Amino acid sequence: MSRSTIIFILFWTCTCQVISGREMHLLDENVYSFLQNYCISCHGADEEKGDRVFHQFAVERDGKRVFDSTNRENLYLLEDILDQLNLGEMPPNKDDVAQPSNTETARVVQWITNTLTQLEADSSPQQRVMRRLNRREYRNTMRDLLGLGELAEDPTRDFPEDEVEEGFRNLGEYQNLTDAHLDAYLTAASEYLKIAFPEFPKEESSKRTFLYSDWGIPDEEATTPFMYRVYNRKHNSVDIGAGYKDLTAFSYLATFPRSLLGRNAISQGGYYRISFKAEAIGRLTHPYDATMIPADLTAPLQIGLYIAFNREGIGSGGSNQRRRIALWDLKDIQSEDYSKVVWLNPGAIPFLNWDNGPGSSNNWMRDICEKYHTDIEFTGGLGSNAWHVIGKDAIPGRKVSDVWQGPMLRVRDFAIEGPLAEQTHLPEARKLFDRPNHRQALRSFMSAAFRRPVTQDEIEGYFQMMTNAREELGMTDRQALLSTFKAVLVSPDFLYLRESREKVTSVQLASRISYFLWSSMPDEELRDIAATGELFLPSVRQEQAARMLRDEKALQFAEAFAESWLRLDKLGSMPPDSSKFWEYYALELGESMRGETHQFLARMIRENRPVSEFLTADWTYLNQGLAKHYEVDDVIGSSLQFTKLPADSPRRGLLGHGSILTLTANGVDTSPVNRGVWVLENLLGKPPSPPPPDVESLDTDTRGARTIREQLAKHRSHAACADCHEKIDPYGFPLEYYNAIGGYRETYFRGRWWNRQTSELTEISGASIDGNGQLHSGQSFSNPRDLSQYLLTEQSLFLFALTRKLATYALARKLNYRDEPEIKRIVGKISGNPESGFRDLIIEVASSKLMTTR
Amino acid sequence: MVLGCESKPSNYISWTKSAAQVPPVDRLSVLYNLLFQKSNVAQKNAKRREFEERRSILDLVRDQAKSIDKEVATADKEKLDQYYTSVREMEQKIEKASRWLNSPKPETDYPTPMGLDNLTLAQRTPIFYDLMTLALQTDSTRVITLSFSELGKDNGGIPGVQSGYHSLSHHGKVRKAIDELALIESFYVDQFARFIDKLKNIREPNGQTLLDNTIAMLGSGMSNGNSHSNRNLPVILAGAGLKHGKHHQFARQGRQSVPLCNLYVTMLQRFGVETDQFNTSNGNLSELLG
Repeated sequence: MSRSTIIFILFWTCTCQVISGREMHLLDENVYSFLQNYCISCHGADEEKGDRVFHQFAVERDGKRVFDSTNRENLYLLEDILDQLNLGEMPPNKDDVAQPSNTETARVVQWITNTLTQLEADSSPQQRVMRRLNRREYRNTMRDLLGLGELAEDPTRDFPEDEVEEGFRNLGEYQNLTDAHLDAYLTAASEYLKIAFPEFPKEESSKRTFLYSDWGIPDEEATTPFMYRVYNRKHNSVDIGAGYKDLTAFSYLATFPRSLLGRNAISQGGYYRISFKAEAIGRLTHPYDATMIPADLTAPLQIGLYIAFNREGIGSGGSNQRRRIALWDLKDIQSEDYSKVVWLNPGAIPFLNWDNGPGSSNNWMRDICEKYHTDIEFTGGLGSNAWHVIGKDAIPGRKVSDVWQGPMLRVRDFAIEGPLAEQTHLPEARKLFDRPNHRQALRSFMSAAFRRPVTQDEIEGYFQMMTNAREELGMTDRQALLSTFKAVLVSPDFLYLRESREKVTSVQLASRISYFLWSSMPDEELRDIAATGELFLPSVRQEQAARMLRDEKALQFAEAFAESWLRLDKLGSMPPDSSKFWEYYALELGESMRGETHQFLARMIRENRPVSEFLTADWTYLNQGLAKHYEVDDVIGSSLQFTKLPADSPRRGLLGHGSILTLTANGVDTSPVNRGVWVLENLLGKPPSPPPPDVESLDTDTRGARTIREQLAKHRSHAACADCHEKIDPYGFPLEYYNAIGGYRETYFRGRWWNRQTSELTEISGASIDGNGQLHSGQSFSNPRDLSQYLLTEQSLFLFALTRKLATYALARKLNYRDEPEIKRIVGKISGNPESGFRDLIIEVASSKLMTTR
Repeated sequence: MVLGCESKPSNYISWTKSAAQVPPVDRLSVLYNLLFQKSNVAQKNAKRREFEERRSILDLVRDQAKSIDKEVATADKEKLDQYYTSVREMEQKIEKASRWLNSPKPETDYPTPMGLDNLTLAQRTPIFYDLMTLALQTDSTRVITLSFSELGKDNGGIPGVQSGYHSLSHHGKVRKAIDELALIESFYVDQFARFIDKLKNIREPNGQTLLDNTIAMLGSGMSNGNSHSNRNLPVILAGAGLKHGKHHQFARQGRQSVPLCNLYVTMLQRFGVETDQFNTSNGNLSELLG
């Protein structure tokens, strides 16, 4: 302590000398010689490693070294030097590189720290820039502002993509707003307001129960595809015998009552209750050879409830025009009630699908009929693939549907009820229209939308518009009020989170906190506390943050932060090759993986787990498909459930998550470089320099003659590459044990061999995986579990990295120099208490000084 | 006119001045209606009322933005300016849209098949080009971009292709994958050639062909997807009476290479735009092409 104080004084006095005329800052002689002795040989005129050069940084003036402190580049350079020294990354720990003593390094660190702090303090405060609600925040805010239920169709579907800067979608500085945004906001606001303030129903709410005649499907069938769907007279049910896991492969018409296209069409927007009874038939009791049925019958049969927004959505190309709103595991031979309330726009068509069904090819059905049902005559197939088989014991008139005993979904009493009165007339909405005084209605809507009290002047402006709309545009009272609400919803006060010039007010602080923890507007309790000003007390913020994290809305934080920190948003941007990784689609792995990581974060928060579990957790959330992919037994059903990983599983912590392993691959091959960079950036907080501009990426060769390790060997032999890659690649090699969708492997894939005689698919293995990664420090690890253990020894780096990401997300701006002391304090507090967990860390950020400074 | 056929946000190719992506029209039915659908009186009136409402909303929010202008910090001013600009640009678009509403739509006897949006890529691509030709011919637009990225259902319906475009582009030097990739790329080039032929066969009032009055460029953002290389990008240029019929190679010399932007400068100049610069250009290719 005492020594650093002395150094502080020594150099501090020097930095204050500013040479007159230009904003030149004195460069300390010790720092200058440090750069000369330890840095410039690689980062100077002769070599430009990592694209960083220091030889032009300082100039001589009156026998002294000075640098231009008004040049931002120079400050970035200093920050960079400081980061490298603090992390112990530079000078590289090599035999032929001269190493400074600890005292020398400490001196330089101290001087740069002080200089930057001083320069930051002199410059105008670097504030967070007013920022726009991103798409997630907009959607959540509308839900909370208007009190909406579940909507089948997303009114924000045509929003321009949010700008992403280092994973963050909430940094005002990097956001754009164009007329395309305004257009999308106006369109969405109209749609939302129609839902929140519906006109009185033209039709009485009705319950339509669909009869057999409504479905437009046969009740007897002599051809094999009958199992697609058939009316079963005996059980008065619709039996569904075909269906897809992945509806993009969907090539037959959806299963829905045909009368929804005609006399029973949804003609008015509203909340509707869709209900039916369903059970699984024949999953375990069918008498056939199970290997002949192309569906996994060890899993419960799943029924998906979908909404097609229009006719296009029920056809094969319409994947953008439909959405699954529920997925249920059916009980075997035990009918249960299923229902869901959802807002439907006019023309919507709800339909059902057997989501883990056998597809729609009927060859397997023909094979079964030929083997087991020789007492029928049947046809199938189409065109040149058509067939006609007469069984040797054929009994005239006996049909496939008389004898079929394969697995099916049995659905009864499918009904649609609505528009539901209790949902269409929200109390809030009614209140607004019942107000005799439109100014009052405006005040209450505006202050909720602007997340602050509004002034009389502001109300007058909008009131004026309402009057004009009535008088000049000939609108009714109702239309004029709604049109004014629309203006509220595209005004900068709603779209932006704006803060006062000098400091954050208590009301603005409430928004900071709620957009941090909920990605949405503050609720009543938070607004009330904000009004008292008590939110400035850290203890009050702690209480509020703890309360808010217990709320269901905190799942929005888990999802949004996973996007920003772990780059989960990249999952799915490079879809895995469907021929190489068919199981990704067949088991619907993408969605499950994303859910796994979300659920993982949610539990880390809910149960305040130690942050080290991000690296080492022996638990996760799996469903049957994902468990199969991870080779974990005894997980049944489609919903994600808490699962302890087996002792011999290679997976531990986030690096075992399929989501992370898939998003760090390109959908076809794996790359130790991509995965290494991911570890450095997101877990260790040490982003490597970008590759030099004149270097081409690897021209990958997967023919099997050379492994990726051999292809990357030039990274080690070329000095220019080695500097960075010996820091990157070692973290990626142990993860080579996972393929491009995170499946465990011990050898590379070389191809598949299809045996026509036996119909067997054999995989041809390539070289064995060599997971050995060695850091320059001599540390080495050879498999994923080793890597987790190693990362645990770097826990403090991890905690810093996580805290910085959290703070960036919470503040919606990049961190700067002046934030460092507070970051250190937070990290110190969390690491000082062995009991602390992830929730504590979030609460600590929410209650820190960072939140209250502009 | 910004169009996309199986395009996705990471591959959009049109951007505004302020660097915001312009999402393309990706459904043929929508494109067809934009170009040729005639509105009846009731539809026109509904549109007009919508325009009026939007104008009054924009008037109000502009005033509101002005009133907060005084309160905001310097850094926020820029954001607020962006908001103003957007309001102004949207007003201009409303004016344009109301002119378009009132202008007579061209007649066409172009037949569109049923289920236009459910076709495969191979079936849709020629229709995109046909509608683009009609749009140019009827002077409904002067600038068109069309982007492709994935193949969509049935691997685009291109005979012989058994995997996705992206997967195949990471071919790992496997022969079979490269062969399939060649099928996809031949498809794109064939379709472009067919488009050029169509333009060539249309006479314009000034006696020249539609191709003579148009510059058409086909290119890709990568030259080798397997190594993600964006050097030596393959580009085909047609039309506008430029010097054609030659394959130009621009060899790299050390760190020096000819930026593709030089070609864009020449194209802009050919359009009559007075500029000698575009993005990273350091010259133009007028001598080679002019």
